[in-house]
Amino acid sequence: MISDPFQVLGVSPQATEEEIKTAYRTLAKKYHPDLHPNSATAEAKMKEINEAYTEAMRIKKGGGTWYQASSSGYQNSRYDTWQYDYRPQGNGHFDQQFQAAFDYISTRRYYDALQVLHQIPEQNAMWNYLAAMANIGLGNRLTAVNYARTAAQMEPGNSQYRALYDQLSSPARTYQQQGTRYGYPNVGMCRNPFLTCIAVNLFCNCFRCGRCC
Amino acid sequence: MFGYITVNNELLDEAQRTRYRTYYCGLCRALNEKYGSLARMTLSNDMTFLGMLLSSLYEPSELENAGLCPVHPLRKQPYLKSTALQYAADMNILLSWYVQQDHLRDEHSANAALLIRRLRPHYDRLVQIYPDKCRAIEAAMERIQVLEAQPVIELDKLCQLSGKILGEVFRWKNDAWAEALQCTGESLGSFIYLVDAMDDFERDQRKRQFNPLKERHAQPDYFEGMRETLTLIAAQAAEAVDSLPLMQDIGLIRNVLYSGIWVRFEQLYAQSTKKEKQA
Repeated sequence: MISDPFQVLGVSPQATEEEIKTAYRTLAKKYHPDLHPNSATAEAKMKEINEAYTEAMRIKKGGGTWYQASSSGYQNSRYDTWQYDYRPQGNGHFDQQFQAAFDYISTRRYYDALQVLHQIPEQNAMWNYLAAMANIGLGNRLTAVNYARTAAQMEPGNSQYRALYDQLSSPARTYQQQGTRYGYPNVGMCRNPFLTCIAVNLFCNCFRCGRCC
Repeated sequence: MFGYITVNNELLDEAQRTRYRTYYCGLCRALNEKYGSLARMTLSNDMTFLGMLLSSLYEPSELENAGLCPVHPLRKQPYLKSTALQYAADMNILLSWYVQQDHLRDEHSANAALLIRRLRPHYDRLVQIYPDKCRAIEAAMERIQVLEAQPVIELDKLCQLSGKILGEVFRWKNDAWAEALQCTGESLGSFIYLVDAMDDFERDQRKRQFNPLKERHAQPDYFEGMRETLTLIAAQAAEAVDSLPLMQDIGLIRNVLYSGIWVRFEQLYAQSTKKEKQA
């Protein structure tokens, strides 16, 4: 096992992610397998800096590895925190079928919860909220966000619906913020429809000639 | 092939545009060299991106050259040659094979039948080289077929399974980067699946064929909902790529991840708003 990833990479623990990447690349160039074919030492060194890089980045990102959140759905610890207070609060409209769906969700019987929900004809905000919860349990993140958004839209004043939606859609917001530096969104978000139209046209033309490389 | 994983040319400077083309032409040449001139027809932006991403990550020795080709018979085009592009060419053929299988099954297209006949010897060879990948991809495709035949549309599961296919393709070596690359591929694969479903929606309706967005499309804010879903998926891809030590061509890679992959979506969105106005 490696001792100190930052030491292996030759950077301080306070280094930024960019600095870590630069340090990694410098070392990777030095021990690149193309330069040292069939060298066991170079191979071992490469493995060591790969591991050091991964570990250093993991620490920088604040502990948990990035892929835990994406590959194992929403059942991991990152999303357990709000599970204790997901019981719908509010204006008393919480009839028997909703109660049943809620009970299934709290006992992790998500399929049963969805079955109950699909028997309810009126899909109000509460319905959408519970459908979102059940889908989170099933690992259906995309569907869950969609329901959570509908719930929040149907009852804009409900802070609980809002909180669920905000939590589920937070990675998307990070991406959008990051993306403004690299061209997201490219077109179509213009306030002025006339300008948007011009932009889209320009853009489409460029795209077309770009494709015939 | 889909070609949705592409650059947004408008936001690139001249140097970047040229650089991207050297990859694109490099992949085309790798296809020609390994699989013959017919294989050039399968050339895709998706696999150009893969070649670029793997080149940036592994920095294999690159040979830059320029030459004439049937598409550019008069002006020499610069192109790259590297092991990453060789691998991307293999994956390009493999994916084409599976996409054509799909076309043949869904549309009984004669074109697909012809291409399949020509691709078969290559596929047989690739199965020998990448047995695990092929097995995983085929298993995912079978599951997708089963799910698509069900009355209830399980959109998340369909996305995840489609993602699996590209996840296998993106994972090149079994090393420290395998997991991040696979996650990148999985997210981009889900992204493609959805944009392709949006793209095909009207045609599928007309032909009464399966489309995973049937329920989504009936919702009032269809495009906003899809934008959000796609943003979540794109965010995952961007996060996975961000975890990798990439410096070379990072501008181009980010252009694809934050802008290029949205090109088709924005076109579809523009078309639909235009139609709405006319109606």
